[in-house]
Amino acid sequence: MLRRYEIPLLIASIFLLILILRFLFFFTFEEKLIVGSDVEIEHTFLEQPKSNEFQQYFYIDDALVVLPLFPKYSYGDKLKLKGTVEKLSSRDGSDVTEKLIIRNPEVKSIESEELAVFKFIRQRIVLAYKSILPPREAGLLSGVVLGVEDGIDDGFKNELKRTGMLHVVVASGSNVVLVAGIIFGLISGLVKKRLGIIFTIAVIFFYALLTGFDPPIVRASIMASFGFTALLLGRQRVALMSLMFSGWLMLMISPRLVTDVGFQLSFSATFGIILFQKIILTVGRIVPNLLKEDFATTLAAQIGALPFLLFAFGEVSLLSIFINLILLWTVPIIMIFGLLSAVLGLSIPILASPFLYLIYPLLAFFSEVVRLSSNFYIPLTLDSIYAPITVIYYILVVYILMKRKEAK
Amino acid sequence: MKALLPIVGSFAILVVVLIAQFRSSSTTDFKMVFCDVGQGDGIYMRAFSQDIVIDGGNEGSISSCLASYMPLYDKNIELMVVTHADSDHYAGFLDVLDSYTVTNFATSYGDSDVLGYQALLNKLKKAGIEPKRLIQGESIKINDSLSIDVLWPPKEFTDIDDNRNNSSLVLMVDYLEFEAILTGDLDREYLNLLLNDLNQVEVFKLAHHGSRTGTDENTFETLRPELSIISAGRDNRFGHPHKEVIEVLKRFNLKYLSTQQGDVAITSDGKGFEVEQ
Repeated sequence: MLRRYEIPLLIASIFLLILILRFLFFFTFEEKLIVGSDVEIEHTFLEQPKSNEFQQYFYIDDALVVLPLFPKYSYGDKLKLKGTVEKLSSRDGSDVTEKLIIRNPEVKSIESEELAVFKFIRQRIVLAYKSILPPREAGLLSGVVLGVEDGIDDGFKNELKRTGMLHVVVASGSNVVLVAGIIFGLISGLVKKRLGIIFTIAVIFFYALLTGFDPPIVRASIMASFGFTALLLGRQRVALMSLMFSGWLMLMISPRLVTDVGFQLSFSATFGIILFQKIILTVGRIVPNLLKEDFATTLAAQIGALPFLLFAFGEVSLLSIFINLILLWTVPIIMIFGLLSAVLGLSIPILASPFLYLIYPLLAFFSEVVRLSSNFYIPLTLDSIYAPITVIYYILVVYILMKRKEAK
Repeated sequence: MKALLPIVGSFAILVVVLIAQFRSSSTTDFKMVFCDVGQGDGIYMRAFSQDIVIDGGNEGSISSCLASYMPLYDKNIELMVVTHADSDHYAGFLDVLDSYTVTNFATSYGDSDVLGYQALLNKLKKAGIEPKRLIQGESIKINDSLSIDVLWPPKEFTDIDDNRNNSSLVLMVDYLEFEAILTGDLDREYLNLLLNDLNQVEVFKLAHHGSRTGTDENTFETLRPELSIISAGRDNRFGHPHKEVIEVLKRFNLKYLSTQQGDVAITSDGKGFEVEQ
């Protein structure tokens, strides 16, 4: 006879086993590009390819694809590429990595109707930002609100990386979760809880639309909607199960997601909110009432995603945590005003300008702190011990949580 | 009320920034900035509340320089010039056009088959701007005290397909007694043809990023610039500026600055000038 707590454990183990089998099957039989083979690939850009003085480049799986500098490609463009897979080598001809390259393939543009509307929406919003704000601040705002990195130049991106702030501008769950938390926090006092939840979910999906239904945002939207609904209805356990199930389902459909930074951030941030938001609300009495909900949501998401926030981008500075503390309070405000001006920018662009001017000092503050603190980079190489640290961190988090419950 | 504090604070800072920018930009002094655009050329000028940009560097490279020197509320560039259709001189303008409105655009002739440059011209066309093609002897008058004279190319050099560098515009910026020569990427054999009609100048931008094909001792002997500017990228793969050119500058004991160390900002009252880097 099984004990009460053993049934969910058994179900969880079965689900985990199925997932492991799926991973084994997927990664063993995955079709790989072979050196020397001629390939014909269709590719739709979900982000703008990178470029230097001479060429544009982007990755398809493990292969670097190099195209001439012009014509320029951007989000939503669909291409048919025909070329030969070669091994990527250094200038002196020696092999540098296991990576592959498809150099200057034959390119044919295909009309991509399904993304045309989203492309138009994204462009309109980014242009509205650019037409008022200086480029650095406009790029930062596009990153925070839409998760698009296109407007952020390499220098600024590097500074964001060095300061551990790049997660703020990545299309990921943190942004979605933040939007959901802010909206719910703002309207929860005004309408009934259920209405508030419906409205919040509607806003989450409108936000996903604004970002051009970027796959990471859509995934995060689904997780955040499940998690939030259950949590706000007062069922923490159901919320956790919904999150686990939606995460499981996504990994079953696309196992490659397991290494996707956006997926890791969405999942862990929602996880943090479900577990910690209420605790922080009861503890955080120092925060003004109106901001309390936002503060609790942001902090809970940060606790949940901390290892990924700090390590996901390959490098971390010892100062990252302090810089995050100095800057993160600006993100919800930037997000609210950025969203407002995005909606206005789509309809009557001129109406967006007062909001953009208003958040300019905050954006400038953010960007200056990043610029200055990137000079004090104290790198921490944790590549080899990153996985164990992450595991230890989550075990500790769950342990503290359980101790707290026992104490009650 | 406490929750509104960041917004009120932000508004207060905005007002202070705008007032400060308005005060500093309404002076009558002429400003010329050689922007750090990496490997390329990008020169911003402002006088009498008019903004002029000559060359835009590589893609995305000049926007932050413009944002640093143009007031936040000024989103109009009165004159944009591309000396010739090499990407390190025009590509940065592609995104400048997303952030600023441009009133006038001028360029040289040699751009027939350059894909990216055609994209820039198309973008300008969509904004209702037709390029004005400049040739030797023409002059753009900004106002009574500021003009830009075209020293190169002559008519017979307007159809060069094999070497775009030699169709580069060479411009003399003339603000009262202050003169600056901007040379694009013109080869020295052609640059030296111009020397007979020139005298000592205040500022001279070395041709072709300080390459030895751009400038030689004849150039410096005639122009004797008070300040020479090298516009090149840090650790660029072309080895610009060339060490022979630097040696000539040193031999003539001429002061020079390079954008490899950051923007070079020059302010002139029409007589002397001050420089900041």
